[in-house]
Amino acid sequence: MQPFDYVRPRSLAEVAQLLEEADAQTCILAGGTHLLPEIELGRIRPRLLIDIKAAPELNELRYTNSEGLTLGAAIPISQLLTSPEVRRHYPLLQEVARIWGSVQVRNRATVGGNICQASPAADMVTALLCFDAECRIFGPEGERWTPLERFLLGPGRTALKPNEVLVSVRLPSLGGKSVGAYRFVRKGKGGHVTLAGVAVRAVAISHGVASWRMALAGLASSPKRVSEAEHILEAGELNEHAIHRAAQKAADAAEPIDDARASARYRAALAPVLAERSIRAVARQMWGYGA
Amino acid sequence: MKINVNINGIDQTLECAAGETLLRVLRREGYFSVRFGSETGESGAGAILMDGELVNAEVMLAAQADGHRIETVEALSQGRRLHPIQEAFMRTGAIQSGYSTPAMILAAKALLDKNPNPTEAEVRDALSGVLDRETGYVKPVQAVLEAAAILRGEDPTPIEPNVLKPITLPGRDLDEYGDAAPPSEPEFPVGSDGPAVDTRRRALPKFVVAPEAPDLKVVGKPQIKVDALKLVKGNPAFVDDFEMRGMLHAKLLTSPHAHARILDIDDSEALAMPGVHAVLHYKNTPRVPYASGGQSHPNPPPYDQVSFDNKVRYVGDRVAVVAAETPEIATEAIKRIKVTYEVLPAVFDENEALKEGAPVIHDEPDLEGAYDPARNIVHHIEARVGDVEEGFEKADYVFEHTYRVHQVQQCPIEPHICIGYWDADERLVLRTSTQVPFHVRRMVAPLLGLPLKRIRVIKPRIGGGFGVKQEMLIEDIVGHLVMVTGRPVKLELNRAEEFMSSRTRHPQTITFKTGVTKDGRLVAQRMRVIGNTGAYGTHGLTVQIVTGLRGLSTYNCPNKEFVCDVVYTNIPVPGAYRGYGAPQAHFALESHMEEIAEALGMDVVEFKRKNWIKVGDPMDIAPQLGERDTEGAALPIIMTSGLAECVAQGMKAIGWERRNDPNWRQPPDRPHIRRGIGMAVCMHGTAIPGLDMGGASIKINDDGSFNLLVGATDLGTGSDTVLAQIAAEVLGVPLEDIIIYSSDTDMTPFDTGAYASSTTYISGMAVKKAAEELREQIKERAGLMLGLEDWAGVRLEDRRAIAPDGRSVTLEEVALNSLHHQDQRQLMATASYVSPESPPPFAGQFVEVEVDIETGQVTVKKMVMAVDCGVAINPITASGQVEGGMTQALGYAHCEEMVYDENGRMVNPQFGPYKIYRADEMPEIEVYLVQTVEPSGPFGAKAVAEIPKDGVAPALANAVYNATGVRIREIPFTPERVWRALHSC
Ligand SMILES: Cc1cc2nc3c(=O)[nH]c(=O)nc-3n(C[C@H](O)[C@H](O)[C@H](O)COP(=O)(O)OP(=O)(O)OC[C@H]3O[C@@H](n4cnc5c(N)ncnc54)[C@H](O)[C@@H]3O)c2cc1C
Ligand code: FES
Repeated sequence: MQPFDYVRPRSLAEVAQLLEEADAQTCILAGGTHLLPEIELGRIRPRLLIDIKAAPELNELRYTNSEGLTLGAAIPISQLLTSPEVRRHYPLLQEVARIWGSVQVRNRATVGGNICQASPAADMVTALLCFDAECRIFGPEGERWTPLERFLLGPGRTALKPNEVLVSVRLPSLGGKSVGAYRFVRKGKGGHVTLAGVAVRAVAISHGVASWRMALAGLASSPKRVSEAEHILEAGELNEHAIHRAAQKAADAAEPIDDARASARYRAALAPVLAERSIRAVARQMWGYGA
Repeated sequence: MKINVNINGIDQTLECAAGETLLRVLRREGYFSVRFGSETGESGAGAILMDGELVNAEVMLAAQADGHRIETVEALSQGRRLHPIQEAFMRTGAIQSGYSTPAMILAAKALLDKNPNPTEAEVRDALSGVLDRETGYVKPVQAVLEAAAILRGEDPTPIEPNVLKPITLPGRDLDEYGDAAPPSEPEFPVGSDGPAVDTRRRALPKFVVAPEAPDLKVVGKPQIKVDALKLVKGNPAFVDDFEMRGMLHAKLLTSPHAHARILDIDDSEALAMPGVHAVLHYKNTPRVPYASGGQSHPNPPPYDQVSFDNKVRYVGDRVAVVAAETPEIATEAIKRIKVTYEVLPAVFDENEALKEGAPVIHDEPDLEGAYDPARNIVHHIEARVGDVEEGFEKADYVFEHTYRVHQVQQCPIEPHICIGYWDADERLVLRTSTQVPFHVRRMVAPLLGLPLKRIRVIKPRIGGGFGVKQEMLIEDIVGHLVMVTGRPVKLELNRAEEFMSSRTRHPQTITFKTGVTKDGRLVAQRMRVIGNTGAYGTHGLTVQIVTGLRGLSTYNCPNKEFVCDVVYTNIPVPGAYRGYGAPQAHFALESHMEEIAEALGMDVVEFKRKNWIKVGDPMDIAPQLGERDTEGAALPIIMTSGLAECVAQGMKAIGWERRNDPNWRQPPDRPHIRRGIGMAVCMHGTAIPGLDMGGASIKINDDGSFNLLVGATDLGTGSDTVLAQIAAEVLGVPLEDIIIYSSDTDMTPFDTGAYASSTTYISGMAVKKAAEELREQIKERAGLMLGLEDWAGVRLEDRRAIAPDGRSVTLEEVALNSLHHQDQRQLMATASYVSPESPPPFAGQFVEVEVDIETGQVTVKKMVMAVDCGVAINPITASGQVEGGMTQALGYAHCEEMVYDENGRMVNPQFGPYKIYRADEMPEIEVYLVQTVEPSGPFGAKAVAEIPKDGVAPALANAVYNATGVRIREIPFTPERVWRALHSC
């Protein structure tokens, strides 16, 4: 690896201060599972790495009924697996964490890293989109909030300005029974490249009525919400017709591309199939039907 | 900078650079169990525990560990006491090369510390980040489950051999069923979530014992590997675990173009950098043409490579090398070499390369031994028996199908690595990760201009080979650099280089045309192969010869023809890969045979059984497709075959009849799923007849122990163990009394090397002969000591030489007597062996799949292989070979592929994007060893190492056909390929 400097600030204030002096060759280091190989392969040549794992503000996992769930950007994916609050209120996040990478990678890679790497196929980001996640950003001008949906601008591109850091994401509390499902296709079940995936989550409102969310992985330039499908699912009774129409909306929303892993055509064909499966899996968990 | 860490309980302050990985710093501090597998961390070989959690030291900065607690395997064993996990890994045979074993043990520890009672699925998840290319994860999973039980204070059931009754009638090859009619359900239905106790039986394979098999003490028993202890403790044993003062680091500059002429190289800026000691390229190295395949003298042509050329022929081809004080300086210097290329048009597909007007890849005047280089044809091979045209005339039906097999890489977790230095006698020592130390010594000498006697090649432990190290690949570069700099030099390929700049498997286009009679007998079979040998010939000739031999030997047929062109293209170079041309042939043949059976409306197994080769049948095309000219020699005859029994056992184990049940094939509750079962018949070779040779020498020590020196190369396959077992059996001692040392060109007898499934059979026979000769000397000495007139009746048993009258002397007494007391001499013997035959092992391979017809995703649920490998000298290592081989074969069939952009650059030279199976993705695996007693092999042994590579792809294709009715003639069965086939697009 080429030489660079390394600092490990102990608070968000220290991070901010370092960022204020940062130039284009300064990188934020979270789990490093993406960044360090990029440096090793010579694709990024930083001068300074700012390790954010020691700043407490970026490492909290907190749940309150009023505020919902706060996930510090630097918490490892594995921490989602052990949190009882996540299990109870956001089981979809656990389902995704379980199929995310391998033990070692989950122990290092962070929620914030998965977001800021801005991969179109990022599984956890897709799941987070189903919870209306809001990003807390900190920079020279202080703090600002932006919805996750608007944070993602395409492959490798986010709404972060040069000297800003993602501090945490907040997921509002849900107020009812929450179930989720994530169906995806990869070359093998593990392995970190999702060719296409659809996350669906529902929160019970009253008998037979729920609020729905759907998001796509690998099917557009960033993980993407499908609000048209959500409307259909929320509009009335969940029957075969509604399921098909909602799944079709996933297909309509998909803007897949050809790459070395799969063709656009194949990805497009997967969108409605996976959407339908995720919807049915959610309905099954929620009401015991829809299979 | 300084970091404070607690390593294995000791607080330390370490000096490191900010950019250094934790892996590098730990290794520098002497924690050699933490190993390099990939610069991007996916291999998991560099796993450690940090604050009790498993993390990859390859993708962590040492700086990130500041203030944390680190554990490595070195901490687990105090003195000679091992941790129960380590003991379980040894006992269950979970270790092959041992390169990633420390990482697996730590993964297990992290799990068991938190969860003392894990399910098998949890164990698999815990191991999922440590890639293993050798065991198929069967035995490591067993080991962890067993260790968990022991740590809980339970007393797990001991591993007992699982002996089954034969199904076919014993002693005959008539394929009739005996009375042990197959029950329809497997005996131990085990799901991947099954509890520990169900799975513990699987460390040992199931046996069908041949009644005539000899009763032995050490051979045929599940012995712990002789090298297990050092591997389980993570002791320094591999090439990279060896440090020398003043060692330089080498780095390759490789070609960014698929085809280009180098007009000029300007190295002045690189050479001017402080710390750079040498830059080598075509302008300053001698031009000596050679063939890089590690084969016997004279190496098969063409001689189409030189150490550094002024032309590059694939992306990844060598351009230059730098040796510098640190890897960083070397990497920087590489960037400062200015190369002027004239880019040429390139061709990648073997069929395109044959077309008129295709770019000519080898136009150099000193090219030697290529068939028609102007048309990119390296070799043209033809072989025939009878007259196929006449046969097609006579046939009732003629079928023709074309298949295509792709390019994959061997992926040893330890990449190629070599350290070279001048020893005190100014001889060049190459410590290298190779399968062929003796060939390397012979081949590297002329390139360096050094006499062979001034070169010593040492193969320490190596972290997997699978054929990719049957090559003289980087040793010439290291040799040149040592000679130019006078300093020790290390060159290690990184993962991307291992993919792009080492060796791979040959892609081929294979067309079978077969004539059959109405009642399903083969009358004529033609096999046409276009083999793609990439930029260089290396193993091109012999791999495609094996393709022809294997394609046209399994089934009897009066008229056969093999026509093959081996062509140059601009892809990274194919070479040897475990299986060596046979997996390609089997995919085409076993798919084609099923297509014919289907068209004839015949039962697949019946059709194959009717035609397959049986005991007493000649292998009629073999003499024309041998590596040594055997014209005029007698036709080789099948002496032993357990094929019928293998197929019967496999059918029973997989529940074959389910494939005809529509309700099973299409489960009503899962409308998008189709299930299917497929099979393939496999036949392989055992060593190259008349060519492969192994030597062994053995001597007795004062205490009655023995030093066994062999040239044979243990790649992790367990050959050291198997060879020591053979010596122990002959000499009547336990395994621990044999101290084996292998593959060091200065110290051990010659051996051709570890390839062609030859070691147990050839080197094993050499060891047996040497041990037998020594046994005679011991008997004679014992006779002298006991005052016997005739010592012929003395037998060796339990470390004693026992006279017929019951009196005895210990081997220690024999040794002391002969070394110190009377008529002193060293009792010792040397022997070697070369076999005129290559007795084929046989197998039945079975695969059960689920196909998701909406996504094209194929999930392999179960693989069963029943193998006739003769007498398995060590059933644990033998079944380990089968489990690991099948797993590699599954990757070949299902998901592994080298993907290129339009300029011929591989786009996925990294684990992950290049998908190899993980522990949590594995199907259930069952291995059956069907014994036969091969008269020409040591204690009845045949080969086992390569045959598991042969049948998975066709069995998978046949299973997918059974499930969906769609025939796919191209591998791998990636979701998109299957989806396209199902939706005809
Ligand atoms: C073996 C393996 C398996 C994988 N499996 C999966 C999988 O199943 N699913 C999946 O979606 N992905 C997977 N990944 C890939 C994964 O996308 C990234 O490697 C990971 O998300 C990056 O997280 P990190 O914390 O390591 O980020 P880093 O590598 O530290 O950083 C990534 C990028 O984000 C920036 N960054 C990080 N945190 C912040 C922040 N708080 N503020 C501003 N910028 C920041 C960094 O500067 C860098 O550019 C896998 C990776 C590997 C190696
Ligand atoms: S390549 Fe290993 S035995 Fe043939």
